[in-house]
Amino acid sequence: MKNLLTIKNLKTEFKKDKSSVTAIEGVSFDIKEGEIVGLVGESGSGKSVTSLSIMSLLGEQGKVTEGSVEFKGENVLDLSKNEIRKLRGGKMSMIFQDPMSSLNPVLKIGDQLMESSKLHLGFSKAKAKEHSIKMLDLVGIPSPENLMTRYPHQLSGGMCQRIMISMAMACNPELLIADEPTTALDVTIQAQIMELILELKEKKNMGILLITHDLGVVAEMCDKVLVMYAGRIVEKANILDLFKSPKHPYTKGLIASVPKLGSGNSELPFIEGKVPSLENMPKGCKFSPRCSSAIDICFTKEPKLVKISPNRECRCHLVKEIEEKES
Amino acid sequence: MKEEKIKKPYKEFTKKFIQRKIAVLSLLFIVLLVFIGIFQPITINPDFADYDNLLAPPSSAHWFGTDEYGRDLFNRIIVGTRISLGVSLSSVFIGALIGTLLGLVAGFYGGKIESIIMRSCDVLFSFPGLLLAIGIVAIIGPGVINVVIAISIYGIPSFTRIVRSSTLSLNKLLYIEASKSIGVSNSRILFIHIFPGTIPTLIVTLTMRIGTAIISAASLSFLGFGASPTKPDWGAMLSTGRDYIGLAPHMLFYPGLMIFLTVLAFNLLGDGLRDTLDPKLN
Amino acid sequence: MYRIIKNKGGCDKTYILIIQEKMRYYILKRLINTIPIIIIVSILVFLFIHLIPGDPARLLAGHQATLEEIMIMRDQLGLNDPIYLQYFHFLKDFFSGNLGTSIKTGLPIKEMLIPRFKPTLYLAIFSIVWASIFGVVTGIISAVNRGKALDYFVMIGAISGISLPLFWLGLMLIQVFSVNLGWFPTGGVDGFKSYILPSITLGAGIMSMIARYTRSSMIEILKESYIRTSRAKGLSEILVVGKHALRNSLIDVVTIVGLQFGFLLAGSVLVETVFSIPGLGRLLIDSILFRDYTVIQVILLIFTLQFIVVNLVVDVMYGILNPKIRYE
Repeated sequence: MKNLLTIKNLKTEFKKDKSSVTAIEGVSFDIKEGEIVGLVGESGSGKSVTSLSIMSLLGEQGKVTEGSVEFKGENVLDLSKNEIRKLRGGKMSMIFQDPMSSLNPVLKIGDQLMESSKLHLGFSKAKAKEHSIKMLDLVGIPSPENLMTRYPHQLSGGMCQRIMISMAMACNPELLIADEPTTALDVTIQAQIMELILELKEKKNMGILLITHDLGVVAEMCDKVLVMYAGRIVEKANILDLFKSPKHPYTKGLIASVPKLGSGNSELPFIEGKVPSLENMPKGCKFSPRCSSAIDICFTKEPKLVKISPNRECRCHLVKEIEEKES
Repeated sequence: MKEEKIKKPYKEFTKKFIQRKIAVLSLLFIVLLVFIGIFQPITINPDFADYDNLLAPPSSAHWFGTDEYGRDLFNRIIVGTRISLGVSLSSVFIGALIGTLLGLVAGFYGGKIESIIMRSCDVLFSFPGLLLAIGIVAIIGPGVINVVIAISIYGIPSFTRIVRSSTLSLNKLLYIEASKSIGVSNSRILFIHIFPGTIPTLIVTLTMRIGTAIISAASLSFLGFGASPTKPDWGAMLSTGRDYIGLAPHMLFYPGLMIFLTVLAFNLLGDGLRDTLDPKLN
Repeated sequence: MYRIIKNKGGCDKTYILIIQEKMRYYILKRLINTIPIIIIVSILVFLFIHLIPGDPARLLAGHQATLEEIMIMRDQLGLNDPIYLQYFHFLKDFFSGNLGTSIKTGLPIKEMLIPRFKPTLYLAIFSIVWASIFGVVTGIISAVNRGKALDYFVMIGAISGISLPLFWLGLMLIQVFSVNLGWFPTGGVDGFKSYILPSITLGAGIMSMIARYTRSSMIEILKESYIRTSRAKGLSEILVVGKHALRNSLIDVVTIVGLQFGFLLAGSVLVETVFSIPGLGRLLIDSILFRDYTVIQVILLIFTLQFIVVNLVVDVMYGILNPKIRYE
């Protein structure tokens, strides 16, 4: 399988008043065709910033200061604004967390849908309309012709997310970035949307970057998982490896805090403390203040992301030490 | 504990405010004007008619030139500061006082009282701005005091509306409910708990309305309804100056410039205050 | 209230009927709310003549009138009737077109007013059209370039525009462009050219307000999620701002433009005075100076009614433009 997307050493900074803060640093990973990669972490871990950096949607205040984003061999960051725009919504598309507010409230659904195909595929108005109706059908919306003339606020969250997905799929993307696509939805709708995404992936052989904080979703959907904390990737693993034997203390904490049926525990375990703010990053390992296994070096020196087996990487002093012991 | 809490917001406010240089500059300018208004530091007697120098353009002797009686314009403007500022400030404060009381009562007690007060405001709002003031002056006649009355009345509904909406949102706060349930008297709640909460928006509105009041007062004077043209009110000076358009443009330029700069200062100050107090930007 | 209508032919049609009914209901509700205000305002204006110190009959009859003439005048004016009857007559007269007689000229007021409508109307239209266009465009440019030099420049211009005393601006414009440069007439209504300086004067303050509000409206809108979506689709910035953002801010813009109408009315009084335009506003001022109370009354009522009507229209327009209200 070819590499669809290769991220190397990505660093993104945001301007705040007169100085800049680093949101993410040293982020590297790749996504292959037909592969679903999960990006997991709490709010504030940098997951969304990573996805926005890939799509060059950072806005005025954000800028990628280091690293590269290679899409099918070409560094997206080097492209001109026009060239990036051609990719966006075409070969690379994105869906967002809040489907209701991600659709323009004063434009008809049909209008918003037809924009992509008119732009990227050069369709005429009539052809775009036909295409959009087909797309709506693809995502499982009943009587799509009717929907074309409605406005977003007349619809439910699940409907809106399906529409978002059909908008994203309209121009046959090769890479889909889904930023918490089901967080704002009911559990039953969640399941439907997840199924839909899987279906579409199979049909189109897309590569998907699935961003979520929900480990349950990760377990269901992903082939590979990246765990992020405080703007850095702290663990990379295959889905089975990650759940069977998590190495990083943060990952262990995350998995442990998911309630399991029949576990018999009266108290729900949680990770003490909270994610540090961008201005107040601790020295050394960013997770050290909250880590129950931290040793002295953790507070002074930041661990590097190292390979601990063919398909696993981990950023932790303890893990390195363990592997050294074992070898 | 209470002392500490009250001091900190002031300090934070001052710190943030100082960062906005334009607002600070405007404040200084206003302070300067108030100083001039109170103390009237004149360099030449503004009533002295220099008949050799009628309608003279600006020179080193007369910085802003002279008027149709040869009186020094610069000093007339200085003397006029007291009237112009005095009229505007007093009318806004009176309007604010009455409007705030009405707004507090309307927002706090609700019911019929609120309906009556707000309906009255709606009626007052139905008269387009200045026309209400003109109408009032048409009834009660021209003159400085009448201008103050007219502008106060025309300013009341704005304050009432804003204070009322502030009161409504403050009323919903839990600590107000707690105070009521303890049995604190209504008037105490109103003045000690609710009123201070309305102060930030009140101050911003006040500052902005002063600008409107200055222009309204000047407009009324210009139209002939305000202070008599013999008094050096800035608006009245423009009214006289109009007769000499083409001959003595400085008579038009300087009084108008003063009005413009003063209103600009108040508006910039109001903008700065609003930005500093806006919780969204914090 | 959300409704997802399944495609049953007849059901769709009922849905559309329900929408139209809701719209009508909304408009009706607004109208009903306005009526008491109109009534009170008309009462106030009616009482106007009675609030003035002095006997209206004597005023109308003139200084030299004998007691008998004053008595006749009282009778003519219906001043001997109880006050509510007088009010009723006042309304009846007003809406049947009898606007009374001018104290000063003795002419029927209606005749005096008719030629004055045109200049005031032209002035108002020119002013608001150019002010809206320039105001909206400047506001958008400012919002899109937020924080940059262009933004600050425009914002300072806007605040200055609001701070400028209208009549000073007018006088200065006359000084520079009419007296010094001779490009425009100094006053009167001699064709299109005479409206240029006055409408610039009247429009300046309005344009500044519109620019400020458009800017803040745009800035808020550009932060919204759906703008991010439109960019994620790869749309050009022109489409993002010009189509997606603008359509949303139009709702606010229309409201703001409508709200400026009050400023327009008040300002026209000043501008007509400065530029000697024979419009309604100038007539109002002249009447006040000459104590022509019957005329003052009529003009005040006209202006106020205009204002109320425009506010009503703006309210309704807002309801129509905002699909959330339209379709709920």
